Amino acid sequence: MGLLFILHRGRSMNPNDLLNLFQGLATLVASEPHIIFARIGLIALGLLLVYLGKKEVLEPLLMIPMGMGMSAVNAGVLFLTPDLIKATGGTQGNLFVSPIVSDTNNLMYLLQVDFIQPIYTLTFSNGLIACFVFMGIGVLLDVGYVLARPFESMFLALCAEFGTIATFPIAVAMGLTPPQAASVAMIGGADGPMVLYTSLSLARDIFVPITVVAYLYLGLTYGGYPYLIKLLIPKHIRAIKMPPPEKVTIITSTEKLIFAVITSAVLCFLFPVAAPLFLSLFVGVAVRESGLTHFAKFIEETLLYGSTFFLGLTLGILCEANTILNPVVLKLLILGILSLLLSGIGGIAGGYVMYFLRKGQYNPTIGIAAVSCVPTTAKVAQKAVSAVSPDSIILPEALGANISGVITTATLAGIYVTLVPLFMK
Amino acid sequence: MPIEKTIQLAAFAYLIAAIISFFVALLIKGIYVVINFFRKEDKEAPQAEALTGLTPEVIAAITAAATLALKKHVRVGRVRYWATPESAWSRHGRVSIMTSHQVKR
Repeated sequence: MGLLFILHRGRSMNPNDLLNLFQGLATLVASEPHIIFARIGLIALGLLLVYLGKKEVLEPLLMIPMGMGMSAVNAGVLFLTPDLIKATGGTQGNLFVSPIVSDTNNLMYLLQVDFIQPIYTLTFSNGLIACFVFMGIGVLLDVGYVLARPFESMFLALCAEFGTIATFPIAVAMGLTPPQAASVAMIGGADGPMVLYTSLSLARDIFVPITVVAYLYLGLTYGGYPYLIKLLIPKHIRAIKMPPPEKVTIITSTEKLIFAVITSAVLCFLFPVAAPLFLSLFVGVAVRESGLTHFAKFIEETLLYGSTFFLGLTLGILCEANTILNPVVLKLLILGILSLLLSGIGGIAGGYVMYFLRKGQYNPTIGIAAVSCVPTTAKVAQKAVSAVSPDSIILPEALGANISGVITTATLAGIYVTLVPLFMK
Repeated sequence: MPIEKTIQLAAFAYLIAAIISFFVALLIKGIYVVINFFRKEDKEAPQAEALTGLTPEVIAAITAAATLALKKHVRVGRVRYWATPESAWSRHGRVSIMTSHQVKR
């Protein structure tokens, strides 16, 4: 239609005018070579993530919206109008989100223009979406497994935080600032919302690549940790059957509720900077154990799935070429995998300590479950044991360690967010 | 920040995490001990269990039957035993009368 109109008016068309009809293409042609390759690469990566999510190699609940967002935002770049240039400070951009705008007037304008800006500004950049996900996790948790064996579960969880601790000085040695190093070290805690929350608090400038790397790697733990188990634990030790408990411990809902209330208050008291996370986790547990079925259903279904969907979509949309092409991304990729690897090794080492303390009556595979990717790592541990000894059940102990891992990771997040700024002064 | 200081910070953070984890475990154990101290129903439950044969399998069967009857997911939150099985009928009658005035939801 545009071509017909122009021919009717008797003017000849410049090829650039044709190109400007398709601004996604025009902006690509007008960009620097590294941006061209980055945009094409990220579009392809987005499609790959969707494929891997569909095949369930990576977590589909996150990867499918993330992949779609990633490909769309890198394809849908346009030349901005004067109003948008004034609001964002750039000549090219997208109509999805402008994450770096902080001026109030510009932000108010963009909230009315950009598609995902309200979600990003009102739920993502303040950590609210991470808290919603944590509420959902709290509702799904049965803390009875922790209550049955608290010291053992907490010890394993502490061992599995080795990656979170060891990666911090390594990251600083690689040139990251201490806040950035603490944020990337939290990947070893294997808890997506915690990584998001810590990086928003400490390293807002690189929170997008840190969180994307974290979620990508967390999706890979299901595939990678079994190999670590096979490497570090011989078959005959993996096949150890856990002895049945001497006394059956019945944990009532009231006990679990009391635990949630008191632990939440104590942890909030100790680490107010991480209080929103502690409250979110334990309010989910409290809702579950109080028997508030309507609340539990709302949180477990609508809130959790809705938050997970928008978390994945927003993360994908934030993976725009200019944001991701940060020289620190390669370091994040290395440090992220190192952190998870060291946490897995630490967890298994903790399992071996229990094995020796119990004189061989303990399966050290349980240690890997202390890496707090709930319930993935507990399932990984059980599957690894079932593969060599089908009638060996370690899931109760594994879940206890798994859930304790959430508590210790949240504690470490609070410690880092409190201590790192203090040490920087 | 010098590397020695970052190692010190990391070690300090781990130490604090260890202390807090220990106290959380102690808190959990303490809650459990206190609750058990006040728990009285457990002393009656074994006797009732012996009388009525209520086992986890029976509770599972009750849950399944309730789910089928109500056509929605049911979770048995608590099982309370009336005073003695002999008074179950009279107790049931009183409950029926009391609940007959409730507005159906």
